[in-house]
Amino acid sequence: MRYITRKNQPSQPLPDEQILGQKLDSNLQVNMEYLEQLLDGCSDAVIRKFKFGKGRDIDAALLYFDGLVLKTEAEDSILRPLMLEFDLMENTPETKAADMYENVKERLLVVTDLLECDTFDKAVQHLASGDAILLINGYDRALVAGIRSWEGRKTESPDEEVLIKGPKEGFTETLRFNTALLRRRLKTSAFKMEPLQIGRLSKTNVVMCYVKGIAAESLVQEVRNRLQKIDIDAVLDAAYLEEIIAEHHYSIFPQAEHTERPDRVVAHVLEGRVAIMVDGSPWVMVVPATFPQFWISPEDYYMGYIPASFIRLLRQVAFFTALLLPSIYVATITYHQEMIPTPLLLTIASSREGVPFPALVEAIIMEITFEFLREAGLRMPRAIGPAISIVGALVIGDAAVAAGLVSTPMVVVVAFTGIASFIFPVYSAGIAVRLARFPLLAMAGFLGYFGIMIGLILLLVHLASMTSFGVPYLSPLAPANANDSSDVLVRRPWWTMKQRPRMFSPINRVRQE
Amino acid sequence: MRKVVVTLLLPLLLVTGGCWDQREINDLAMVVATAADVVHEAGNEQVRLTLQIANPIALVPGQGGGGGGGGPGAPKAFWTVAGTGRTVRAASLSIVERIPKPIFFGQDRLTLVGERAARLGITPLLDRPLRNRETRRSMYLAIARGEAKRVLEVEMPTFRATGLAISNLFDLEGGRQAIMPVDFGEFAYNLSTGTTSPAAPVVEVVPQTSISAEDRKSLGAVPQAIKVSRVAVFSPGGKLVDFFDEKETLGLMWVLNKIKTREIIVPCPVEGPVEPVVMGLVRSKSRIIVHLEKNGLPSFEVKVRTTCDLWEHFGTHPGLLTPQYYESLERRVNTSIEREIMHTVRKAQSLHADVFGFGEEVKRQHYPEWKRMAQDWPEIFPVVKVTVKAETGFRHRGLSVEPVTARKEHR
Repeated sequence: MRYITRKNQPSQPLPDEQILGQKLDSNLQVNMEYLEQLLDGCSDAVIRKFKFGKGRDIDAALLYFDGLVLKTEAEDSILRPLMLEFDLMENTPETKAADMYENVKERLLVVTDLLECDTFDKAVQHLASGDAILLINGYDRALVAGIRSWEGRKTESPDEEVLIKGPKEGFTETLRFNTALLRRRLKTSAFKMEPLQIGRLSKTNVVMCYVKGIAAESLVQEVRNRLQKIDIDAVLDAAYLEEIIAEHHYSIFPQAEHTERPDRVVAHVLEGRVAIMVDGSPWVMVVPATFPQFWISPEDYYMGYIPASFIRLLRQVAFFTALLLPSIYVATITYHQEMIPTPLLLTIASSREGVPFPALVEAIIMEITFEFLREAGLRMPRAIGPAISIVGALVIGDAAVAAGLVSTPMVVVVAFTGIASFIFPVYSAGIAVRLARFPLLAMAGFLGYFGIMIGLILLLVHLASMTSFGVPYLSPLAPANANDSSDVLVRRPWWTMKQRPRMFSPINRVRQE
Repeated sequence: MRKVVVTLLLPLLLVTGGCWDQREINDLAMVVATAADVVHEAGNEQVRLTLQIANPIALVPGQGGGGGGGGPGAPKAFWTVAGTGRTVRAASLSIVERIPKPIFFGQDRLTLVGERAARLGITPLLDRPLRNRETRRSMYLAIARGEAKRVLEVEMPTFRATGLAISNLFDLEGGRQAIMPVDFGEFAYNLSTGTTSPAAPVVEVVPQTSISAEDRKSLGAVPQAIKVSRVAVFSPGGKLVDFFDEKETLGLMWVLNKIKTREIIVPCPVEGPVEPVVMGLVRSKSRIIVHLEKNGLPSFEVKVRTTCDLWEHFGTHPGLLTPQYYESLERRVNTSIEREIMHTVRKAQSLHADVFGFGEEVKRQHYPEWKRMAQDWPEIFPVVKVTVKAETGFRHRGLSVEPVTARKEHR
């Protein structure tokens, strides 16, 4: 009973960690002293002490963080019933002092989301999450009223994943809105949203979404295990989690898909994947990820399967263009001149006349310049954006050629590659391709087509050796699966998609009869 | 840790050896055409190699002769340079000494061999291009009447380089009239059989015909042009034997499946005024069937299947209204084809030159018998029996049904 002795000597403050480990006291004064110590320096904490009861003889305190709760709600459903309506209650035998706490809880607080807690640790956590806490003298428990409400971004159409057709809603930074967006699309209790808290300090709410009966139990368990093992002080975005829970830490290829579109998440969980939502980030992570899914856009499913298939093939061509075009160009004009038709060769040779750099150096200079432009355009304040495009177009495109520093075909090749690398529906996949291009370019410059082949083989070996939560990274292409891969290279018509992909879940594969 | 370092350093091994083959495109002297002659120089026979080299500087827009010929003093788009030596390689080495860039044969589109060199034997001139990994076997081979060098020196009004013009002509016009494109690899293969007589198209330098007499005077020298037609026939040993004329060339092209399209002029099949009917060949396919006779000699049956359209039909006869008329037209086309081929066969037999590859066909179809007769093939070929069977299908008569001048009384 050490702390009972302590309560009479509050002049000797305990360290914060010890307080957090303690249970709430039945003496309000003690609780308040400790809480005030914990909340010292938190200028946004609001502590409202008041008295209620027939003879204004019961001390109570309401605590919350300003800006996280709806003030009117705190006044109308907590303070008003206690301070005014308690008096109007009949003095029935049930309203004896012993049941006073029960009375408050059962009859007075007009709050739907009402919990209890009995430790300082929990109380502070609730407080920081945006709940209001009511402490009543004489009881060693606190009532937690869920009246969270804060200013957040409204649901807008996603900025990064733009579609012509299809839903325009995107996730926001508020987890609760996001779960609602998903729940509205899957009105079944089989759609589970398991809560987790990650982050020693941030205590970030993380929700794991999957459809029970479609997602494989083993996968759900694996994701759960990996998430629970995370020990980090704060999680500010789902990407933090991707890096920690992914299997291959040295790969440039994305091992989870991040999306801000609820429709995309729903489509993925219906194939047996697991979505991970993090409070405070509009990006939802979906695992496991396979490489072929990065050239699939949700829009493919919102338009006819023939145009969708065409666009999907276009993306595959763009993938190889973005990856290989500069390498092929450099290898061809430095090692394999005989492969170019004579008129084209003469044109290229005449435009390279007077260029002081070897083709490889020229290509690297241009590629890096393009990356500069792209990065600058991205980070630049919007008002100066046009300046970048003028500088890019005029200086790089025109002046550099006119000055004889680079050749025109090289500018065309780099521009073409740049455009092709923007075609990816998933941004992180585009970045991986952008990165992989440079080693391939070097290989092409040193060894020609032979080097490109070596580079491609190494790349393929790397991709084929990867797995994401046990699913081979290249599936369904390798290991090949006829049913699954028919909806990867082209878009399969809906009426033939009778089964869910087998790669994620072996159970419940029937999509339609 | 050591493992990681080694793994990171290993890829560098690839780079250490790299770049030795690297050649910047603008640092190459790109040869687009080659001419080989044998000349008598300094007391002995020398190979003279003439290269037509592209000059990319002149192609830069706004500089030099970009717009066309360019003014005097402007760099020319193509440069023709010759060198002599005892062999092809030696001759090209003597050129290297005078060119600032390495010579690149990967874009060579045409090899011309002079008449004299061809008569002396083409084989020594073929070895270097066949051995060189840069040279493509799909480049065209042609024989020049007279000196090959003169052909490359002709200035073409529409093309910057004669060599490119000739290879272009083979690309687009090959298979029409008596233009029979032969590529380098094909020629070399035929030569390698030891029994087949290779044939190659002939290029001549002719005076430009479209220039009037007055202009000729004002121009001083007569502008020259290039004419490609007919073939030169070689012995199986690679020596030029004779030239086929146009008719003989056409007969050869039927058998070698080298015809793309041409017209066949046959007399009108009805009595009365004989107006020619021009039939247009749409497609043709020939096949050689080898029969073994009782005396052990092979006989050859050349089967030609063709499809024809009617290209021109004028006069007074409205015969196209009756199917019998089509049939007689087809018969006449057949006869015409058969005659053309037989004409060439007789000529080839008189030259002892198996230009059709009959020997190869025997080898393919009757290998055991071929082994017996291979040695004596030069004696067998001139006496073998050859029959030709043409089958023509009439396809289309064009938009008009009958000639506009067709007279009613014939109906």
